[in-house]
Amino acid sequence: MALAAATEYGEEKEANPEPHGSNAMPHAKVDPELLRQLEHAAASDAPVGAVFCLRPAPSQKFIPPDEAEPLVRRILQRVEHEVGSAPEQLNVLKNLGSFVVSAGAPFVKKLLDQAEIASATANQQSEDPRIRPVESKRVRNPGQGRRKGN
Amino acid sequence: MTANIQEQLRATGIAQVIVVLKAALAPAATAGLSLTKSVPSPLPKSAAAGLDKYFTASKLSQDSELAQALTRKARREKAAQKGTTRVGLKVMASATGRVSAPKVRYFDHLGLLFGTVDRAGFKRLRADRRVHSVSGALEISLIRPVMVKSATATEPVTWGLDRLGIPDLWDKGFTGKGVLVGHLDTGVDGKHPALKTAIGAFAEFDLMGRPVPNSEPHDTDQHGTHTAGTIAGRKVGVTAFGVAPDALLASAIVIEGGNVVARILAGMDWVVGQGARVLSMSLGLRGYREDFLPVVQVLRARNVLPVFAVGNEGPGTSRSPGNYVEALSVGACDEDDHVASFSSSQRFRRRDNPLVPDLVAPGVNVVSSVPGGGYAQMSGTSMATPHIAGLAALLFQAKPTATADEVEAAIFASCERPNGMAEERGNRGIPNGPKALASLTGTAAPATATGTAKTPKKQRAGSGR
Repeated sequence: MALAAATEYGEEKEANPEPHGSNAMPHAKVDPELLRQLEHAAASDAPVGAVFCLRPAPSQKFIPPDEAEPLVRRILQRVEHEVGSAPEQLNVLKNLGSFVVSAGAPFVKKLLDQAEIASATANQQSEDPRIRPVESKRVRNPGQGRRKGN
Repeated sequence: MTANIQEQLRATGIAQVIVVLKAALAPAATAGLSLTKSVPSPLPKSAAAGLDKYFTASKLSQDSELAQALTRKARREKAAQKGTTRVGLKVMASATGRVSAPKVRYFDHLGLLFGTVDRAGFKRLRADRRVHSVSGALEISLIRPVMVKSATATEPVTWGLDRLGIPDLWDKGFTGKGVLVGHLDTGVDGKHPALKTAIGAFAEFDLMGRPVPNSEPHDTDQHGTHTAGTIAGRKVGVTAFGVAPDALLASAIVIEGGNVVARILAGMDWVVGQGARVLSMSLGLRGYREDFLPVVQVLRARNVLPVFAVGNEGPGTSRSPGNYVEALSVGACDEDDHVASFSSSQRFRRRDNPLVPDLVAPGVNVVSSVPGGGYAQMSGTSMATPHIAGLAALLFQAKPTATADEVEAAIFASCERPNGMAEERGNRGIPNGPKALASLTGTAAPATATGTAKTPKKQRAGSGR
């Protein structure tokens, strides 16, 4: 796997020097499903959808919303310059310091190497996240649900 | 699957596994088979002799939960029948009525073993020459029987609101007025009589997490309208069922049309932008997944209280993001103060907040709204979670300057674990609205305060306003 700077969930690795000069930043946590999709897409040339969370600076609790979008643009321009292609789609979630991209596998792989990335997740997951009720029954009105008085 | 086991071992120290014996894969002997006996013989238990020592006996397995439930049932029936135990239970029950859970289960027709291992046991199993493979166990939830309910339509509130002492907070004027609660689910029926004035904002998102223009409140299922009703349903008939009946919802559809992470994150982002103080989310991915960790940390840092369901897969299980340190995770209890057998619980190998859920709340036979103007009774940790989100809304109204940490701490301080509720299942126990209010505002605690010791989750470096 050519994702040297990324760490799969749970792996405990010594941080290698970052590609952009900082060796203090820990590696991005990467969803194994995203790694699987990247491997698959490398053969098919299909775009990969991924969600990235940015790492706030050590002095910040979170990235201020008005700083999120410019920061994302800078990161994407840097990657674009290195890879030679641009993402097909982008959506910046400024309140969370996150962004969603749909891009070719080389672009997404290079994004994983960026020091500002805290984590990356495949946008499309195989598991349904809803927690379904264990039982359900129609009632005529809210008072019907009470089984005993007190 | 092995990666999944490793992930569980790292997070909790144990994992449920299925072991396939090599002998099970050997071609079945055909000699002696006839048309009347065409089923191969079971693989004798001796094929797995000694392998049980690699498994660990966990008090927090679905088997042990089932055993406890059977023990209770056996004792009840024994008492009712004056010493006569039903044949079906006699096999497993001892003279005291106690039913024991097996350490490992052997399925002789399949040549499989199923049980819980620690890291050392996992290694040894994989190294044993009789073992073909060790894989992560599928999550299995208990299927509960449907209960018969009486039709008493004259109660002023549902049992869940009563259990949490919510009417006492209403009497003090705290109904959630002025508080916006984030609600990420399957949507909400905006025409339901109990909800049509409760929706402050609504959104749905495309595959990239971009808002769909001109979206009107609607539910793609029933789940969202039910959970929304428990948070902020207005009283329409005789019985009130919404914890915060004057709160407003910022509700969004995030689990429709594929399992798209961007929708959930976009919903969280949107809820923060709307100014919600609480986020109620009855969804999650099975096991411990770090996908949502950075964003839940951001929610905390931005002073939004994340209230998440822990899952419906029983003991020894949990879902993310409900199992994060940063989440207020909610399990389900019933009207008799028992933790529901389906309610997930899990202990993690971490210093802060090692046990989930943080507390349990009414989650069995919960009546709330469903699309089309009707009502339904549902059970699940999804039903318990909005009770706590609603309680948090009442507390934020009582003290608008409170931080998310302060409201959470007040809820924790009000919790009491009823007699017989195991800490490993119910953690701090069940909260109490009036005591939480007293804790938050510094007023005298109600005279009924008899809570057990409470532990704050931790002091979060990233928390604040």
